[in-house]
Amino acid sequence: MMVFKKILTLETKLFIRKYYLIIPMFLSFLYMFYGYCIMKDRLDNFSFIRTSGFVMMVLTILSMCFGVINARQDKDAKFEEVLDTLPSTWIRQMAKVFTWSVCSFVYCLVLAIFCTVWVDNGLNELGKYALQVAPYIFVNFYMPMVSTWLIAYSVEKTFNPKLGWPILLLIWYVISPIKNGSSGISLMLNQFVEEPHGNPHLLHYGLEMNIGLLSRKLWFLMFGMSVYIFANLFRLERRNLRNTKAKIAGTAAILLFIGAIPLAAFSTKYHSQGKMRYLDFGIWNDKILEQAKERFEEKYCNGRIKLLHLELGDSKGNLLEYYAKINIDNIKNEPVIFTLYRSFAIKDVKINGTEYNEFVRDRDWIIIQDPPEGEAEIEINVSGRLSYALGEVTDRTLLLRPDFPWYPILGKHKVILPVLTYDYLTNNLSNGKPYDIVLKSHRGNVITNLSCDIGTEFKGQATGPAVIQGDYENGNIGGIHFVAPPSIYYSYKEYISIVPDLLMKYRKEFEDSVGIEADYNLCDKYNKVFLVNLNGSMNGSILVNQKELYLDYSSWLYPASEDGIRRSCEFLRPMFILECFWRTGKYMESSVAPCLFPSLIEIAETGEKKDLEEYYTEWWGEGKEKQIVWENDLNDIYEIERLVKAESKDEVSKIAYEILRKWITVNKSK
Amino acid sequence: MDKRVNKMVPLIFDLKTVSYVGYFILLAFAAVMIFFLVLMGGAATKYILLQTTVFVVSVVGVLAWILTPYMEIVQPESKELILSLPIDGFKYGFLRMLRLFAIYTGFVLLLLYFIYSISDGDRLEYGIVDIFLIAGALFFVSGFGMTAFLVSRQLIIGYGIPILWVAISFFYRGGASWLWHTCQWINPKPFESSLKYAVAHWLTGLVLYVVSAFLIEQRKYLMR
Amino acid sequence: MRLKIEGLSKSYKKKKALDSVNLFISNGIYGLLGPNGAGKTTLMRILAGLIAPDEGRIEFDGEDVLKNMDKFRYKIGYLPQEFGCYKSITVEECLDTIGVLKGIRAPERKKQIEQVLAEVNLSNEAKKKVGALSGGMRRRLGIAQAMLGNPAFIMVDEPTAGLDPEERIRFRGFIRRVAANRVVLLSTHIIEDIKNNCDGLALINNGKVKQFDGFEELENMAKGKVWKMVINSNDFYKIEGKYKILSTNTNADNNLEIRVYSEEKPSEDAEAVQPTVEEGYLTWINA
Repeated sequence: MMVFKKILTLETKLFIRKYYLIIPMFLSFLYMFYGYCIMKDRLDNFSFIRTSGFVMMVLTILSMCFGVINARQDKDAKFEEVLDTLPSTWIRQMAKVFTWSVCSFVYCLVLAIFCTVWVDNGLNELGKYALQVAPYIFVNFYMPMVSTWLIAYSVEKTFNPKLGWPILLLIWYVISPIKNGSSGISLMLNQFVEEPHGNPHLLHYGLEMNIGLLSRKLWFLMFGMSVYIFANLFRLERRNLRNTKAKIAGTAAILLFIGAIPLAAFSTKYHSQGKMRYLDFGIWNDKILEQAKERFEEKYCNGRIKLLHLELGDSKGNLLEYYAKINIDNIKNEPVIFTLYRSFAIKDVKINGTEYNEFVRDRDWIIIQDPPEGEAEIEINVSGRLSYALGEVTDRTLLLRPDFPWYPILGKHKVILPVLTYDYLTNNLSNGKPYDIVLKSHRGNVITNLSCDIGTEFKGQATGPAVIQGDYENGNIGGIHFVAPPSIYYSYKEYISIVPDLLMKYRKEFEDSVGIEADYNLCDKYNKVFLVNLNGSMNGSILVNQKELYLDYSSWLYPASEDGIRRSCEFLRPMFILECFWRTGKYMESSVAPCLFPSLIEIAETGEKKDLEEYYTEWWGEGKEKQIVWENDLNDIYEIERLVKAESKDEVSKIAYEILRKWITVNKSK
Repeated sequence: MDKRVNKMVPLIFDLKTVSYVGYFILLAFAAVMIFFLVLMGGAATKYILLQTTVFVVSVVGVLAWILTPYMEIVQPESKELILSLPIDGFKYGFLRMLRLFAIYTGFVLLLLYFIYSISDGDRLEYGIVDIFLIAGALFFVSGFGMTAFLVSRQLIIGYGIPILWVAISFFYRGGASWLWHTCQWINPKPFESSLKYAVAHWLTGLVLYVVSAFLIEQRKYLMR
Repeated sequence: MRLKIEGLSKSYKKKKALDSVNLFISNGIYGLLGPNGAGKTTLMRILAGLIAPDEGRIEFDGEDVLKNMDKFRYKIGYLPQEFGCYKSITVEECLDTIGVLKGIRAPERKKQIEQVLAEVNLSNEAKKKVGALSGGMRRRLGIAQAMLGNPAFIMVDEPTAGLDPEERIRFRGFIRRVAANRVVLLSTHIIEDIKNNCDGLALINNGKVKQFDGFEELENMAKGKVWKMVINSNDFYKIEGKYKILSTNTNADNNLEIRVYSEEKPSEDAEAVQPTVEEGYLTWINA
C-alpha cells in the first residue's frame, strides 16, 4: 500500500507538469461549451453531447500521447535501470494505470458536471439529467481514454516508435466514430456512439445507455488491460522472471483477453435505438406488406365495450406484456371477436373468472366461439413485440397509439392497409364511442390520453388508450393537453394553441372546396397535442384520433414562432386532411387513394399536375407489370389517367376535386 | 569552433538525417499509387481517392520530414552539444525548415500534378489556387508540428497534435476549424472559396515558423 | 564466500558477452576491471536482475539468486553507469520513493535518508530539485540511493565518473566504511579506483574473467617484461615504433624516462623494473 501510494503521488506530480497535454484537455471544455452554444437553438438539449465525436477523438489521441510519454519518462530520466532493479514492479505498474485512471476520472467528472448544467438549461432538473449525462460521459469518454492509454503505453514499451506510432495512429483511426462503417468489425471497434452525427428521433429517449453500448467499451478496456499486462510480462520475460506474481498477472491477462471476446462479439451488432429502428424496418417491412395485402373478410362486431382495464407489466427491452380485463355487454349468441395485432401472443384467457382455452388466435383476431350471452368479463394476458413502424416499446420509452390494436379492440377489423404495392399504413380502429378505461403502469410513470397527469394509474373515457413514456413534459395549456420533450415543450407552450385552430381551419377549407358538410364524427376542437416520436413511415408525420393530434417532434426542433408554426402546419396539411377524411376507420379497398390523396390536394388547389404524369407513367408504364393490390384500384387508375390527360388548370382542378370527393370516407351531407 | 553551423546546415546532412523516414514516405506514396491505380483499377472515383490519399499521406509525411532533423534539439544525448553551439533561430530554424518544406512540397505538388495529368476520369481540380492551398496546408501543418514539438519537447506531441487537427478537419469538414480547414482541397466546405483558406494557412504557417525560430533560441527552456 | 558466480554465460546474437564466468567474492570491496565492451555492465545487470543469463548459477549467502530474484532485490543496492531521476522532484523525494520501493517503513526511512545524504554530503541539497543538481551531485545521489535499505550487496558501475578529486577521496572513505560487512562490487576501467579502494579484483575481457587474489599477482604477470630507459626526446619516435611505451616522464636533465613493455631487453641500458598494476593489466589484456 505504501508503495502504491508513493508511486501514485509521484506519477500525479509528473502528470501535472505535462501542461502541453493538460491545456488541450481543458480546451475541450471550451469546445463543448461552444458546441452547446451553437446547438442551443435545436431544442435538443443533448445534441451537443451526442455529436461530440470530435472531443472523443481529441481525448483518445491525448490519452495515447500521455501513454507514450509515460512509457518513456523513466528511460528519458535515466531512472529506468535503477527502478527495474527494485522490488514492487507490478505495484508500480498498477499505480501508473491507477494514476491515469484517476486523472482522467477527474477530467470526466468535471466534464459531466459542466454538461449536466448546460443540458439542464435552467430547468432545475439537475438530478434527472446527471443520471443520464454521467454514465454517458464515463462510458463514451472515460473508458476509451483509459483503454487508449493502456494500449499506447504497451505499444511504446514493446515496439520501436517507427513501428509503434503508425500502429497507434491506425488504432486511433479505427476506433473513431466518423468512419461510417456498418460492418460488424467496424461497429465493434467504434468506441463512441453509433450515430456520431446525432439523431433527431432520440430526444424523448435522452442519452442512450444500454448493455450493448457498454459492452463495446468494456471489451476494448479489457483488451487494453490484457495488452498492458502482456507488455509488462514481455519485458520481465527478458529478465527471466517466472515468479508467482508474474504467473498471476499472466493468468489475469489471459482471462481478460478471453472475457473480452464474447463482449466484442456481442458488440458487433447495433445497439442504438436510432440504428435499431432503421434495421427494424428491414426486418418487419416485408411481413407487414404481406399483411396489408391480405384479403379482408367482412367487418363484424358482437357486443359493446363498457370498461377496459389494462395493467402494463415491467418487462425489459422491447417486450410488451400486459394484463387486460374487458367488460362487454349486449353480447349476442355469436362469437365475440377482438382485434389484436398478430405479433402479440395470448398467454391465457379467462371469461367471468374461469379459464377459457377454446379461443382461436387467427392472424390479427382472437375469436371466442361461444361466449356467454348478455354480459361478460374477459381477462387476457398478452405478451409480444412491435415493429417501430407500429409503435415503440423500449426499456425507457413507449408510444402506444389508441388507433392501433396493441390492446384488444372489440370487433373484427383489418389492421394494416396497403398503399399501392410498396407501402402500408395502419387503419384507424378507435372511431367508436368513448368508453371507460382504467390503466395502470408497473413500468414507471407514463402519460396517457386519459388525464393531464404523469403517473402510474389513470382513469378516464376515451375511444382507446394512448400510452407515452420517455423524457416528455406534460401539461394543460389553455385547455390543451400538451405533451412534448421538455425543450420543445417550454419553447412551444405559449404558441401551441395556434396548432389546433389552424388545423381546424384547414379542415373547414377542405370541406368547402370539396363541397361537403362536416361529418358528425369529426370533432369540433382538438384538445390534445402530443409531440411524440412517430416513426417516419407513411403516417409518420401526423396522426389524428378524435380530439387527439399526434405530431412527429423531429419536425419541430427549432425555436417556436408563429410563422414557424404556420409553416410546419402548412407542410402537414395534406397528411392531416388524409387523416381526417380518409383514414377514418371505414375500410375501402383502395391502395391508390392513400398514396395519391395528399398530392391530389395540391394538384386540385393549384391546377398543376406537377410530376403526376411522370409518376403515373413510371408506375403504370407499358411493359411493366401492372402494380395494383385490389381490383377496385383499376377504377382509381382510370381516374388518374383522366387527370393526367387533362389539359387546362381548371379541368385538372375539377377532376382532382372529383376524385378526392369520391375517395373521402366521411359522410357527405351535401 | 566549427563556424559552419552559423550558416545553413548542408542539405546533404539533412537528407542523410531524414534517411529511413524519407524512404518510408516515398514508400507510402508508391503504395498508395499502386493501390489506387492498379488494384482499384476499375473504380470511377479512383483518381479522386488517389488525390485525397496522397494529400493525407503528404500532410503526415511533412511532419516526419521536418521534425526528424530537429530531433537532436530535444534528445538528452545530443541537445547539450547542439544548444551550446552558436546556432541561430533564423538560419538554423526558419531557413532550414523552409528549405526542407520547399523540397518536400515541390515533390508533393509534382506528384499531384502527375496524378492530375494522367487522370482521365473524375478528379479534383488542380489550378493555381489549389496549388496555393495545398502548399499552404503543408506549410501550416509543418509549422504547427514544429511549434508543438518545441513547446512540449516531445516528438509524439509534434506529430500527434497536427495529425489530430488534420483528422478533425477531414472528418468534420472544417467544422470549428474556421479558416484553418486544412483539408479544404479534398473535403471542401460548400459554397466557400478556397483562396481565403489558403491565405489563412500561409499566414498562420508563417507565424508558426517565426515562433519555432524563436523557440529554437530559448536554450534555457529547451535544456529543461 | 558470500557471492558465488559459477559458469555464467550470456550471448547477444553471435557475440558472447559473458563466457563461463566464475567469481567468488566475500565481504569487502571487489573491483571488476576491463576495457569498454568487455562485459562488465552485462555482468552487473545480470546480478541486478535486469537481464537473464543463458546459463550459470549465482548464489548469495547460500541462496540461489536467479530463482529468488524477488527476494534478492531487497538485498542489493545498484548504481548503474548512467543514473538519473525525474528532474522535477527533489532529492529527498527521489530517495523517499526508492526507500518506499525497497520496503523501508516510514520512521526508519527518514532516518536512513538523512544518514545517506550526510554520507554523500548532500544534506544541504535535500530540498533541491534533481534537475538543478550538477553531474557530480547526481552521481552522489546515485550512490546514496544504492545505500538505502542497508543492502548486503552493493554494485556500483563507474562510481567516480563525474566526481571531482575531493569527492573521489570522500567516496573512497565512504565505500571503505560501508564495505565492512557487505560485498561491494566496483566496476570500472579506471585502475586508480581499483588500486586505492579494492581488496581484490577480477579482470574481464571479451566475456572472460580472471580473478586475482591481490594486486601483486596482477603485477607479477608483467614481471620481467617492463623496462625503464632514459632516452633523448629525439629518439622517442624510434622507440615508439618498436616497443609499447607504457609511460613517459621528463627528468631533471631534460631527457625522457620511459617505461616500455618488451618480452626481451630492448637495449643495453634498459633496466628491468617492478611492474605496476596497470602494466600487469595491459599484459593480461593483450595476452
